[in-house]
Amino acid sequence: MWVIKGLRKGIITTKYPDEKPTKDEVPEIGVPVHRHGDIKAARGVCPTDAISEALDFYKCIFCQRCEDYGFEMTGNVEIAEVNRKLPFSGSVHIFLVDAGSCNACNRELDMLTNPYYDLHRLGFFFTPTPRHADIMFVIGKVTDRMVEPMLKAYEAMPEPKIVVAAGSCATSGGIFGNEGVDRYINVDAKISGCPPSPIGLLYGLLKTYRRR
Amino acid sequence: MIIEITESELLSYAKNKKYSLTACFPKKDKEVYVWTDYTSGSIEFVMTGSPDIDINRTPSQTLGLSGQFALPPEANIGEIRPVLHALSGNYNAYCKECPDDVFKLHYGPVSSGLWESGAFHILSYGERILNVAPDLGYKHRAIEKKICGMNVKDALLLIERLCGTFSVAYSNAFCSAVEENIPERAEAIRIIALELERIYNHIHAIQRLATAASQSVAASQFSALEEDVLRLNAKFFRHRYLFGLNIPGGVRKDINTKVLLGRIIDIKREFDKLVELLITSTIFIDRLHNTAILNVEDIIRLDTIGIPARASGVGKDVRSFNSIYTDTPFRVAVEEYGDALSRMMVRITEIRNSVEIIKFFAENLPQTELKTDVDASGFLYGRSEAPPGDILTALEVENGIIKWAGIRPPSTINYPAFAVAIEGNIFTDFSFGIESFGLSFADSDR
Repeated sequence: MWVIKGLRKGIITTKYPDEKPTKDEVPEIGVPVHRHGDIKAARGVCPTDAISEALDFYKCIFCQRCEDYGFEMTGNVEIAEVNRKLPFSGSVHIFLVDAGSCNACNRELDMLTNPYYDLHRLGFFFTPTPRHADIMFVIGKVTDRMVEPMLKAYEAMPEPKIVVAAGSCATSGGIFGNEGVDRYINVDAKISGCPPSPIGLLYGLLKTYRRR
Repeated sequence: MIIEITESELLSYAKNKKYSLTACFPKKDKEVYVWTDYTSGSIEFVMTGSPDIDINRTPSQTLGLSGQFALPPEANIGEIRPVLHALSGNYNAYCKECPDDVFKLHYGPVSSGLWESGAFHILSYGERILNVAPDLGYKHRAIEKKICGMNVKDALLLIERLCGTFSVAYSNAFCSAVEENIPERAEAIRIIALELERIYNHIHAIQRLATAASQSVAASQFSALEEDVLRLNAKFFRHRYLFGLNIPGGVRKDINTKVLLGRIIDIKREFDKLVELLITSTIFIDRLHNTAILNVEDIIRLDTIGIPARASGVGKDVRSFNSIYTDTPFRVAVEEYGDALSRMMVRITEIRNSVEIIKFFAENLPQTELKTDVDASGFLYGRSEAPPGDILTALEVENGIIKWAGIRPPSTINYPAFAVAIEGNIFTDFSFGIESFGLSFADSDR
């Protein structure tokens, strides 16, 4: 019965990355862009000091406060930077380390495996052990008790390995202050968002080996 | 208001079965115990403690990370009410001694099956689980301590991110503490958001149960349905996890209820079809039936709240004490047997009930303002029903600045209940047990 049900549903998987994400796939709140009005006043209400000369996308937590001061929320969630890429592609294994997240980032990563995004079609797999991993995926503000397990997991990974920090807590500390993952470990790639949306996560992950 | 009592009076509270121990917070050199009578909804804050306890304790020490929570010396409340150990962060109290021929396993904190960082001490003899003791606090972010000294607006951002998947429940509890009365339209929009949050979390719990039973098509279908609800959230409330919806005194944005109604009815129809297929699958039902049973005596002894309590026939639901829910389709969903299957059936009933509640409020949305000014002062508390159980937020506010805060998440109380429920089951039932409770480590560790 389940097989019939599954076939009847048809294909619902996103065309991303071959096509641009549709309006349904990205939330209305992406990174804010300054349109008009007083930047100084907006700086005063920003809880994470994300607004400076240029907007720091990795600090923004999408609190929507700056909307009253001439900022507009765009649907753009494709914000990621990669400093060191993986030398191979095709079958990349991800080891997830939750260093103290609020569970929203975890849920978005879980959502990546659903039929809408289907992470496996792009050659990414979650692995339960660091011994098989190529990417260590760190989310959340690093709490005192998670530092040691995180570093141990990193030690256990084989070379070549990279560290990806996702979400504003991991990339910059976000709402918790300047306590990003890079205080403890060398971060090779960053994905913005609070939490990063599935399309943003796919964009960041694809960047870890593609040349674009 | 907090009443000061002696230790012997506290003991008589503990012995009275009418009261559930809801929370225990440190406050300067005293301890605040919160007792709730779930039949009438009345709540009592009592304070006790001897002056020789270290007065420099802060709320961060509730989790026992940097110091033990000192219990009154002669009162053995922890024996009568075992949940006190979890509330005060003393998880070591649940550990049993390991006999020679018993296998001892520390499961976590970084593990594959949990997706989150938390751990359990498991004693097992062959396949049989003899004892489970939660070992939590890995994700402790000291949010109660951090919000002290903040104004209520800034504190709300942290409260929402205490547990991202229960963000509306947390912000509702926090806001209802600091507000006196808010516009009816804002309150209705909050209820709609709260019920949407319940829907997607319950679907997630069912999906995890299907994953645990290797029903991969069912798991994919429910996962896709959860994504549908998340996209609905993003479309109408602008954020997939509903962050930024609540502000003290109201809500940020208005919603278009006509389109929302159509979409939620579509989701309900799809859900009904999937559930029909799932509960006629005998392989799946066999795994849940008789797994991780909690009976009524356990519920009362462990002060369990939320889904597991309702699945065992104890209808604890703080929504029934909220006057806005009267004359709505809201009903407390109750099952009798108390196993993982009952908990899933409670979830299914609640999803259907939540859709009815959303329909009711979306059709009768009052035409009022969206926000008012907030001027909070004094000792305040707020309650809200999150998907796994109720949340209590107690605050002491002076001119809009928070002086002291105590937050009691539902997972803190229900993890010890899970540990009792799973005793005597076999190892492969562990995932069914834990997923049927629908708890979160981010929630319990705060």
